[in-house]
Amino acid sequence: MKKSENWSLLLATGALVAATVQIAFAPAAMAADPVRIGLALPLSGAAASYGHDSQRGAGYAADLINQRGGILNGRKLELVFEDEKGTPQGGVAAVQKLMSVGRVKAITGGTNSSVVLAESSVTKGRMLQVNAGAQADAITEQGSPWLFQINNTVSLNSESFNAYIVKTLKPKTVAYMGENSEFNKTVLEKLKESLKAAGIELLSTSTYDADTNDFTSILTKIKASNPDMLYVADAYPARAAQLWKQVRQIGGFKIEVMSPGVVTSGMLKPADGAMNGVYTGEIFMATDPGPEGKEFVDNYQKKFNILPGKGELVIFESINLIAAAMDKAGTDSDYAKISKTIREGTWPSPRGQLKFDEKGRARAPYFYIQRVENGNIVQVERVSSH
Amino acid sequence: MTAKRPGAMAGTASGSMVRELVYVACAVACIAALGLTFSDPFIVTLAGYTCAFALFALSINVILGGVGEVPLGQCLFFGVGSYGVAIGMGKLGLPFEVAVLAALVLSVVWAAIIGAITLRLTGAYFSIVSWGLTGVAMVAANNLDDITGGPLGLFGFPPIKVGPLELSDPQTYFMVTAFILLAAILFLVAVRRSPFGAAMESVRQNPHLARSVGVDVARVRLKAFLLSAPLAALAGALSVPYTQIVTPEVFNVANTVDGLLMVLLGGARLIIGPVIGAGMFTLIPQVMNLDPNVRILVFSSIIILIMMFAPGGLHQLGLALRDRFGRKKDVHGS
Amino acid sequence: MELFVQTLVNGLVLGAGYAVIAVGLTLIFGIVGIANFAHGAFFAMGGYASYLLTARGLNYFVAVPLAALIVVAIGAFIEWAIIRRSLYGDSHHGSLIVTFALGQAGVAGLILLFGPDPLPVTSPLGQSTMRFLGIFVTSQRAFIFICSIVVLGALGLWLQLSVKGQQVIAVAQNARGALYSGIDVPWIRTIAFVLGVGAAGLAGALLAPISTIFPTMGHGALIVGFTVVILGGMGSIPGAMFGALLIGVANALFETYVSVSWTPALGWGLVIATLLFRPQGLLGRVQQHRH
Repeated sequence: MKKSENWSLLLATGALVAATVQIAFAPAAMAADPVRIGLALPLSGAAASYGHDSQRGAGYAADLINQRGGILNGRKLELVFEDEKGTPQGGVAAVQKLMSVGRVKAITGGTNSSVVLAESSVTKGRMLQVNAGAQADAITEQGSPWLFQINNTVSLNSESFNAYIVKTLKPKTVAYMGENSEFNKTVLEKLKESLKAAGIELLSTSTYDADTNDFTSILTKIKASNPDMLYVADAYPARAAQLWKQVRQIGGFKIEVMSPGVVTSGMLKPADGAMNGVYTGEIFMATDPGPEGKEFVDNYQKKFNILPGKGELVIFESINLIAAAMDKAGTDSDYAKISKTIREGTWPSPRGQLKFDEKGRARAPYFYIQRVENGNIVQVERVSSH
Repeated sequence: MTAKRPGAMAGTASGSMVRELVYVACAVACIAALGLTFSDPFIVTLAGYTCAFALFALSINVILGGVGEVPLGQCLFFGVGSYGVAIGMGKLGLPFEVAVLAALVLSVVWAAIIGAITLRLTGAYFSIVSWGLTGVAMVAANNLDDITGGPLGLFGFPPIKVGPLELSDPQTYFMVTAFILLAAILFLVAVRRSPFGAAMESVRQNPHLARSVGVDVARVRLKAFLLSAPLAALAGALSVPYTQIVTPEVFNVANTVDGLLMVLLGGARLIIGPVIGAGMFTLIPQVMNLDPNVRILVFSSIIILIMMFAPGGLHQLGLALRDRFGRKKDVHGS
Repeated sequence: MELFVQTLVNGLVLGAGYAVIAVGLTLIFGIVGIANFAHGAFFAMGGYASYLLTARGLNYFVAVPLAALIVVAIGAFIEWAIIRRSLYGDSHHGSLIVTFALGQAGVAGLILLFGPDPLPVTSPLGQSTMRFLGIFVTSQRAFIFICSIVVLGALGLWLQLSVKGQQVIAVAQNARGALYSGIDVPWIRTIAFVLGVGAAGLAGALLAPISTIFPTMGHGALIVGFTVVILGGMGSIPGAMFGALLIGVANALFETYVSVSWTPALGWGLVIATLLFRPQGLLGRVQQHRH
């Protein structure tokens, strides 16, 4: 017994020493080493379908770049994915794993603002992070010099959309109902500001819990106050679809509007026609993309047989931004230089030329006002965003 | 002849005490060694967070393995710890240690109030009510946004320090949480060996019998509850340096369920069972790259199998295997 | 005034849906002695079963009872494979953990089979509404109201009037005594469990056209179920109906006249109050706690 124990101990030690020696003396990285970009995505949990869409969009972006020869003298892009599970602790673990085990040079991804906030505290001062989709203003308000955001913040979306409501739709009275969530609070604040400035009366606000699936009482009460316009703020497809079905059942309202940036095919399908006539807004429209976006949409559709949604768009833009900025700055790790390059340049994208402000937010030239017709989103107007 | 059990009042007291001191010294050495050798922030901070969550699992086991109830609402105290620290540091400008202490006191106060109201219930009724309270807490946290930051939560804290120790440094974070965990384990071992521990065990096994021999069942349960709350709150406080943000989701019953799984995996009868379970729970997903829903399916099935065949968790399985294949020192085996 | 009556009607109609969920839970809780935390998963399975059947072109009204039967079959299998072997006569926390794990596994299974996105189930009643005296009710909800009365009434009558039903009540009151009287207790427990989850599945199929189906749809149903069962009284079918209607109306009134965002806390508040002041529920019998 004792002898074999000794032998196994010796063998194990020997193996350990050998491995350590090998790692210590590993050959230096070669020039054609790929540039790794890390993506922390919700691959499980409620936002899982969004995470998988983003995976596809990111892969597509990286493939295109690699086909064109890669960046920084022929180095290819390599994507590393980690599941952030939709929780802040999942986000922290994912980003740390990407940074250490994944050895990535930049981090992107991001849907849920609380998760991105947690992630940003890990990357602050250590790595470039491009928040693709999360919308809370607080993320970029932190003023982290190496943190950028592709999607409009809630305020940016609301400003453009509310201007349309006030100038074109012109309701005399408005009722608001929305889920009690992170970004709806800002949506409501901005709405109150815009309506007050225009002298439009906000009759009532109803904020409901995430588990709610029966809105009849709320809608009955709202209907009794007879508003011109109903404003609904809800990003969760199943619940929103149900809500609109129940709106139909009580007879609807004169003008119906949904918070910008949330309407997806995953919401329209189960709504089964109940959302026809609803106005909303978005930063991008696959069915009517404008000249810069056409190539992106057509090629995406050819490859995957479906239209790209906003999720795929923002991740596509993120990957392209990181790659192009690194290439232009001539480095994959001098983040101060890369960040400066981003802020000083204009970046071509399916939405036109993007510029980044001092807080790292992307500004696109346009914003789209949309309407649901026959179960599909249709463009009403393309307004210029300021 | 009485079977040898650790902590038995008769028998080789000094011999087993030396043995235990050696265990503790080994644990201290291990923690120091791990903390100093590994520098990869991912592994080290994850280990630290696992220690904090293991503390939470320990607090659950005070009730589950201690008095035999399923405290679905334990995440309430975890949340009190997290929010206590967040509000203390963020809104009141208190240093971390003071905020933690305030959170612990708050958790005991809440435990007293809640315990007085709910502990007269047993079984599923108790579990459902404690679950309901977390539901109310989550709604409150979402709505009282002046205090709690609402759905987005509280974030943006100054660098968190305990005295001179910077918790933003991964290795320091790990060592602090690991030592606190060790202290908690030692404390709970002492409790189990005390008369109070014996009283808890009698209540767990048969409350009617316990009452008939003079054990004040209600008081024992309340004391156990008051003991578990600050442990959970401490765990919540220690998790804040890891995520740097506290949201109402911290009251989600899913957190308690995770903790319960850890307890069951490792064994509710063993004091360090929850710690083993926490380790496995964190390690397995990292090692096996499973689709998360497959992971949930696998873990749930494991739990069902454990409850069906080995309710004592892996510890019971381990003992059974040892008895079968291992050395048999003592005929009565225990 | 019209708003008040409409709100009342909304509440009653909402409550009827809760009743079908709750009656299954109260059967299992009261007769089998298990807190079935997997109840929500069975509810979801009923919804998905109705989706599968209607997607193949089956008429919705035929799909509903068939979906319930599918859930009954699944429930029977689970009872045989797992519940029977682990829970009867066990420590009281065993049932909680096992059924919780079953529920989790069920939801994960649904996500793996159907994906996480919501799916629509269309009922021939569509979005139509019925109006009388200025009050409106959606046709689907009216249908659910009628079904709930029928189902609960039928169950109640069966329990009172049939031999098997009487045996079920006997087992609920005193399992050991029932065993000594020659009643096949394990078989009765199986029946009760299977009926209970069948009711959950039926509720899922009935509510599917209203809420669309998605894997976690059972979560809310579970909470509502427990709330109603505790309020109405464990093991009491009239209690389930009464409790459900009461909660439906309370929720509707609270939401309309007090506050929308605090409404979820109302149900839990009622549960806590009930357990403190009248633990047997409004219509339940005072019971010794089981060990």
